[in-house]
Amino acid sequence: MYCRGQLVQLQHDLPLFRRAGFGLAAISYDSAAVLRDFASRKGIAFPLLADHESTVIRAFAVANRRYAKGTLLDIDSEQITDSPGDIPVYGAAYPSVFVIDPNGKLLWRFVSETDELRLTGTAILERSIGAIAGESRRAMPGGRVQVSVTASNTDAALGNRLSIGLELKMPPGFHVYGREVGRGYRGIEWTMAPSSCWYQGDPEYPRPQLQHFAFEEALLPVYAGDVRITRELVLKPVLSAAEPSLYRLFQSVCLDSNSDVKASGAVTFQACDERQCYPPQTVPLEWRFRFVPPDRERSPPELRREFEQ
Amino acid sequence: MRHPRSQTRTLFLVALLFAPAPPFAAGQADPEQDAAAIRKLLADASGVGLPIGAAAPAFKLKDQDGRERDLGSLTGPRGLVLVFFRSADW
Repeated sequence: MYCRGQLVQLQHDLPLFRRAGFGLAAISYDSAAVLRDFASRKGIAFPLLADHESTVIRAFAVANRRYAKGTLLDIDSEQITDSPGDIPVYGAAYPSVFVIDPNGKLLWRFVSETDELRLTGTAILERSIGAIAGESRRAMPGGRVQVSVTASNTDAALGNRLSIGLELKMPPGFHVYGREVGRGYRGIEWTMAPSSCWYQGDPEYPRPQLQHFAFEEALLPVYAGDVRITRELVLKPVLSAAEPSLYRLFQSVCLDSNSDVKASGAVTFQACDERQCYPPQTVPLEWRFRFVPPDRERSPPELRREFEQ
Repeated sequence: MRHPRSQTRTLFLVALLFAPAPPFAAGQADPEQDAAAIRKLLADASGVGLPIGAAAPAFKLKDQDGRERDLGSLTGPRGLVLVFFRSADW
């Protein structure tokens, strides 16, 4: 389920890969018939490669070790079973991404042993080559220091690795203090309350500059100009047949009436110029994602993989 | 007249309705548990998959249109993003 959603998102992000100069292809242990059916239903235009014997999956060393020969999987519960109606998964790959340079050398990789996490195109480009592509950006009401929120994606599905950001634009001569400033000054802090809807990583603050001011003997850590802080967010993968109510609860608690997921937080900082410091201020922050519901549609029965002993 | 027990139940349901957003996924979000969960989710698996710097194995596979594709035909001017996924069926 998570995979099909990922392929649709990659199709959506295809222009970003092209713009960055990268080809895009995806490989699975499916037959060409399954891939053809899926690609035509979902309008997938980039190559989906049929590695039915899993030779390329093994050559890249990403065959799932949990799926031994003869293994059947109940996809709803992700449990290995021995019931004949379940899916033969021997030879299927771990969800993985490899970025390969034009000479065939691996530049970047991400191999996931968990079953739920999927990288979107923007997450791949941001993590592998540092491209900040396809971002949404919105200014938050503030004072002298202009605060904007950014997001790697406008759409989000369960298990997506998203990156949200916070940008401060300071007028010339202004600065804000870094986290560890002490001495009675207020360092910048981005707070977000824990959520039942997503997992959130810690904020990644850039390294501040150390600067000397007339009003203080010691060097102080400051940010001037433009500052960008990011943190990662993963919508909780709550698809579980064992507890179907979790997904319904996610829908009722985490989605608003427009089917948007809204994340909020706040940034507190103290702005100063060469002569004086202004009182610390707190700016409320908000990010919004259009929720993409899970795709539960399987291939037609006659195309599905047969069980091989 | 209504049975007192059913009244209690109505009261309980009303209280539930107006309670703050109900916690889910094993209780109220716990920052430490969440930090551990996201670390696990975002971890690049060690011991599986070719390492960075390795040469990508050559291959020839058919795409959804039955065309045979290899590394050369898929790579753009700066390279190729190759995604392995579990299945387009399940």
